[in-house]
Order: sequence, then structure tokens, then C-alpha cells
Amino acid sequence: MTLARTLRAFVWLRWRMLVNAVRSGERRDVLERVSRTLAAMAPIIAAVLSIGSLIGVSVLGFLGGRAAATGLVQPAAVLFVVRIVLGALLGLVVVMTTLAPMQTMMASYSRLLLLPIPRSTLHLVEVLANLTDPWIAIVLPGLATFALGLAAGGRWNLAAVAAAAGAGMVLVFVSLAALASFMLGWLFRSRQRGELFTLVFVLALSAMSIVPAIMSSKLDQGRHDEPRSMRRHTVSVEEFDATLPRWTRVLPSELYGSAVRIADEDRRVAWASVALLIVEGVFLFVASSAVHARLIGSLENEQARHRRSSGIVNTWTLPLVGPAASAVAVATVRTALRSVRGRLSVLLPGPLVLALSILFHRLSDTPPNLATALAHGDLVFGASALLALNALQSFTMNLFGTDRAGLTLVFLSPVSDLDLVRGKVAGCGVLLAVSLVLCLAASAVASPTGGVMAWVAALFAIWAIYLLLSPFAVWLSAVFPVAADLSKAGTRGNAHPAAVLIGMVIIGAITVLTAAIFLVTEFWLERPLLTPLVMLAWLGAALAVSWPLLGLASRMIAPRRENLALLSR
Amino acid sequence: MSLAIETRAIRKAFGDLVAVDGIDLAVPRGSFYGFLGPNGAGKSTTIKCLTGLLRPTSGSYRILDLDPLAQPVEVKRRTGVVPEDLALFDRLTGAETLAFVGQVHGLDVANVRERSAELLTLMDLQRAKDDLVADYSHGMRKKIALAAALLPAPRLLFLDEPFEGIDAVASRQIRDLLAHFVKSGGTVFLTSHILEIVDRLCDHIGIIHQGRLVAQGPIADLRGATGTGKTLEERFFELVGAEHTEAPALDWLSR
Repeated sequence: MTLARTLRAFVWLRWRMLVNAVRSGERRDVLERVSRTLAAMAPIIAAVLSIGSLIGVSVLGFLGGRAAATGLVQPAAVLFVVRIVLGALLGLVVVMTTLAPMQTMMASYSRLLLLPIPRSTLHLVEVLANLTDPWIAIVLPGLATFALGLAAGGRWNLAAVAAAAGAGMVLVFVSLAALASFMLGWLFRSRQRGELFTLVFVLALSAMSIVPAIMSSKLDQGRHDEPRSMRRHTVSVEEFDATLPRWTRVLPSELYGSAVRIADEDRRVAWASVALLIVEGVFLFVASSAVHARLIGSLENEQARHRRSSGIVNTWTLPLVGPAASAVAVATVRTALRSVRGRLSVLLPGPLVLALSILFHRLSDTPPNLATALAHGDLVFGASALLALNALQSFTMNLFGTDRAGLTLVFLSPVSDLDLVRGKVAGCGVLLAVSLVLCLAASAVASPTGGVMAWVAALFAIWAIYLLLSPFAVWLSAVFPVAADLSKAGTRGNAHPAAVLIGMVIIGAITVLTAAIFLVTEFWLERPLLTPLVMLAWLGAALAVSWPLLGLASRMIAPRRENLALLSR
Repeated sequence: MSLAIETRAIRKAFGDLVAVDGIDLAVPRGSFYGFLGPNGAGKSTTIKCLTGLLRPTSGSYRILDLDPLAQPVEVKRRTGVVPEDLALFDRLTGAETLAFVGQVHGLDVANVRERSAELLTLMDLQRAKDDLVADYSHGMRKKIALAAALLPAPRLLFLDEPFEGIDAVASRQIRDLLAHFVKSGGTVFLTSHILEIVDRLCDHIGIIHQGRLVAQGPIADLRGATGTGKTLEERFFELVGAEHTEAPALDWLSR
């Protein structure tokens, strides 16, 4: 009864939180309501698309099961697909739970612990809540209809094993997601430990994402080395299985596959595999319970170590802007570079470009156009600089929402709207400069080609794009402000989707114009020495245009001041 | 009498909800003004209007003889604020927060360093000055917000519940500091739920109830108005209509 009552209460709580999140905008102005409605559109669209996916997966599961049962398709081939999907999902569950722990109640845990809910019930509810994670929810009907398909094909024995193994897989998925989520919750008890973990996790994930491509390039290379007669050889499921290390056999997805595969031949072994799968699920459930107990038993705040003091705090006054705007700029830079989101946005584009360049250099079948572009270091730098500019959209398209309560301090200080805007643009400019230094180094290492003048021209070009973008960025940031959580690498640190979308269109339009000037001078007129001068003139024009436009955009702040001040909440 | 804050029929509405309903404040220069009221009476909304975070729906006001709507930057140069939600950059250190405030007020670096050191010592934050504000406790955040408000040596201080969450030692030091500030000609506009603090510190009070100013003037006059020597607490209960309020029995509590 307690469990049912608690579950009902939690479902109601989530529903009310969702409804209240939408209703809370009622007292704000029209722009605020439009902004919030647009922000709510993305999850609604995702939900609508998910329904289609659920139906698709259900149908595929049933057809696959039936085809395997009737011999229309080799059962081993169908099972191979199921194993791969389930195996990939195991990794995805951990990754997605880490990136977007959307279903957990972790944020309001202190309040929940004060309620008369047994901790074991709280743990169970948290585990069950993972069933609604989209990446788990989408596979559930597939597993069920796969067993149904086998039954419909007359293979009752196989169907029974598949149903039991499917239940075991579900137990594994929800327990694994809960374990990852509780581990994360424990890590984030300490802000510093949590932010360090996020940074390492995202960097490792980015590095790992190119591993399959590098491996495929190796396979590709190996295939080119083979005699022509050997190239058509396809790998069978048995051959593939033989190459797998022994430890993979105890992976839940492999246990599922082996149980269903062997059910017709040796029922005892099949059920033993199912039993082992369930034992693994139970083990993960017990482990998640232990971590949960540790999490809620840990102190709310760990003792913070005091940082070593240099004793002196430096202040800088930037050129072209006054002391007030400089203070805003320095605060923006410090805020960004001390946050997970800021470090990723600034530090990632350079290394990413280097990794991709190395990858494409190694690939034997890189498209000729791309290979030609890679041979021009200045173009690689230009592309990486654009990547850096886009990566900074969390800051450039949400100039006011990244400060949270700090923005109120600025509003209470003698900082004019124009100084605020100039300071914000200058601060993001400093962030872009840091990112560009890394991109420059990465491009020089990846492709040390092209004339110095072309590189200089590319540098002028990106600054011209940034300057022309900045008035629009101010306007979009004022119209679509979002209280960003910079300690997160996921969507909570993003700018408003509408601001990002419009920003990308504007960056694209300015880039096309800038690239056209660059390409005409560099390749059509074939006057490489003229290119940097033309780009410098373009930069000057951009400054001349953006400077008054910034003044115009700053007038947007006063009428939006009350809405922007609400971002601190 | 020269006024530090003068408002005329200030009103602030959020849709149908009227948070502040035409109040006329008169805060004398050099006074320690306590602004009292029950929860939801409109104290914080009034402070937000006076400090420029909210724009009044109607009415006019002057701060230190300046029009805040026409000269917002000039007004902010002369005022310091500790708002309800403290308003701090989470990812600046305590020392950097003070440096930021000093720079936007146009103070020179040496001056900022000297004042920061004194304020950090007073607030007992010297050891934590290089920690991020995000890692501060609530009391430490309150102290650094107060230090930031004091650093530019304002002539008028707006303090929204400044003593909430501050330890007894720091609280006494801050009280002494504020008393000294007022004695030297500064003005403090303070809201607090703790009537004892207001009674001990303030020389003028204003009481707001349901968005309306129900009493205002020197604290001695307000106490003596009845001629019965009532305490501030009794007078406050009278004015907000809570003197005869008895807690409901809630019989189910005594099972």
C-alpha cells in the first residue's frame, strides 16, 4: 500500500511540476510567454516523435520475432540485431542518465527525505521512474513484441525464454540507470568533484566518439591491402562471435541473445542464461540500493577547502570600453572559464578540429573536395573558428541568462545599459579569442599549409563575423533569456532554442557574405596579398556597423529589465 | 527636513495582484529607517522599486534628490543594496566580487584593495576570500553581499533582511558599523522580521500591510501615540490587525 501510495504521489508531483512550470509565465509579459512557449515546444515535438518511434519499434519487434520463428529470416541474424541494439542501449543508458537525469527527483531529495516515506520505497520509486526514460521506454515494447512475434510463429518455447530474458533485461536497464544516477548524485554532492567529473566525462566521450571511425579506417586500410578476390568476403554471425573476447559473454545483452538462441537445443542452458541475467539485474538493483543509501546518508555539504590565496585580485580595463564595461567583461570571462559549460565551449573546438583533421587525413576514401580543403590550413582554421563561434552560442545567445544572480548585482550597480552590452560583447570576445588560439594551434598542427596572409585574412574574417553578429546576439539574448545552469554539460546550460536557431541562421548569412569576399579575392582575383587587406577593411566596416547597432540594441534592455532580473531565481 | 527617500503614491501591480498600493514614504537623511510588515505585505517589492529592479506601475519618487527613472546610474553611484536574493556572481570569489563592485563604481585599485581587506576582516571572510561564492554558506553570502554594498561608501543603504543567517558576533559588529554609518550622515533603509533589532537600531519606522503604508514616523512617536507606553511589537500587531488573532485550536493536534 505504501509503495502504491508513494508512486501515486510521485506521479501527481511530476504532473503538477510540469503544469506549474507552464502556468508560472501567466503574469509575465507577452514576449516572456512567447519565449517560454517556444522553449516548451521542443519536448512536445520530441514526445510526438517518440510515439511514432514506439509504434515502429513494436511493429519491428513483432515482425522480427515472427520472421525468425517461421524461418523467413535466419534467427541468428535477427538475434544479432537484437543483441547489438541491447548492447548499445546498455552504454546509452549510462551515458544518457549522466547527461540528462530528467526523471530523477534528486534535486528535491532533501525535502523528500523529511517525508514519512521509507528509504527502501524511495529507492524503488526512483528505480521504477527510469522506466519512463525515453531510451528505456522505447525498447520495452520491442522486447515484448519480439517475444509475441516468436509465439505468433508457433515457437512457444522460444517465446517463453525471450519473455523471461526480456524481463531480465528491463530489470538490468532500470537498475543500471538508477545506479548511474545515484552515483552521479553522490559525485555532485561536492560542486568541485561534480564539475571535474562532468568535464572529464564529456572530454572522454568526445574522444571515444571518434574511436569507431579510426577503427573503421583501419579496417578500411586492411581491406585495401587484401587481394581483390578476398574483398567480397562477408563476416558471418558465428565468425563475428568468435572474435569477441570471452568476458563479453556475461554481458546482459549477450546473455539475452544466447538464452534465446539456444532455447530450442538445450532448454536447461537457456534458462540458466536467463537466471544469470536476472541475477545480474538483482545485483545492479542491490548495488543501486547501497549507493542510494550512501547518497542520502552523506552530509549535505562537504567541508570546502579554502583555495590558496595570491592575496591580490587583478582588475583589467579593456581597450575601447570603460571600466564598468571592462568589469562586466571580466566577470563574464571568469564565470565562463570556471564553469563546465564554459570550459567545454571554449576548450573543445580546437582539439576536436585536430582529431577530425587527423581522422580525415587517415581515411582512404575522404571525398576529394574535403581532401583539397584539408590541404589549405587557412580554410581548416576558418572552419574551426566558425565551429568555435557556434560552440560559444550558450554564451553569445544568452548574454544575460548565464550570470543568474550576478545580473541583479549588475542591475543594482552604476552600469548603464550600453556599458552592460559592451561589456558582455567584449567578454564573449575574450572567450572567442581564447578558443581561437587553440583552433589556430590545432589547425597549424593538422594542416600547416597555406600562406601566412591567408591565415591572417581568416582571422580578420572571423572577427568581422563576430562583430556583425553581436548586435543581433544582444537583441536575441534580451528577447529569449534563459536561466542557464553552467555547471551542466546538457541542455540546461543551453541558450533558448529560438535564439540558437536564429543565431545560426544569422551566422550562416554573415559567413556566406564574408566567405564570398574572401574567396573572390583569394581565388578569383588571385591576389593573395590583397586578401588580408580586404578582410581588414571588412573588419573595419563590421566595427563601424556594429558599434552603433550595439547602442541601438542596448535600448532593448530597459523595457526587458524586470524580466531579465527574474533570471536570478 | 531633507529626505533621502521620498515617494508619492507609488503603486506596483503584477496583473491583477497589487503588491504596493500607493505608498508615500518619507525617509529623512541620516536616519536609520526600519521598514516593517508581515510576510507578503510588499516590503521586498517596495525595495525592488526603489532600487530600480522593478519599475513602479504609477507614482513618482526621488532618491537623494535624484530621479531614479531619469538618472538611474547616478542614483546607483550613491546607494548600496543587499537585496533579498543577495545577487552575487556564483563563480567569482569573495575578493573578486568586491573588486568587481569597486571597478564599476570607478574606484582606483589601491582603494578597492584597502577597503576590501578591511571589510573582509570585519566580516570574518579573510580565509574564504579566494573561494568561489558558490561554495559559501548562506551566512557567508550575506556577509559578502553586505561588504559589496558598503565598499563604495554609499550615502544610502537598502538592506533587505540583512541579519538573517548571520552569526551573533558578526551581527553585533555589523550593527555597530551601521550605527556608525548613520552617525556620520548616512541613511539606512532596512527591512527585518526581527522587531527587536528594528526596535534597538532604528530611529524611524514605516509599517506596510497589504501593500499600504499604515504608519510612519519617528519610532518614539509611534510608541507614544497611544500614550500607554506600548512595545513596538504590540503597536505592530495593532497596526496590522493581528492583536486579537488567536491561533485556531486544531483539535486534531492534541490527540
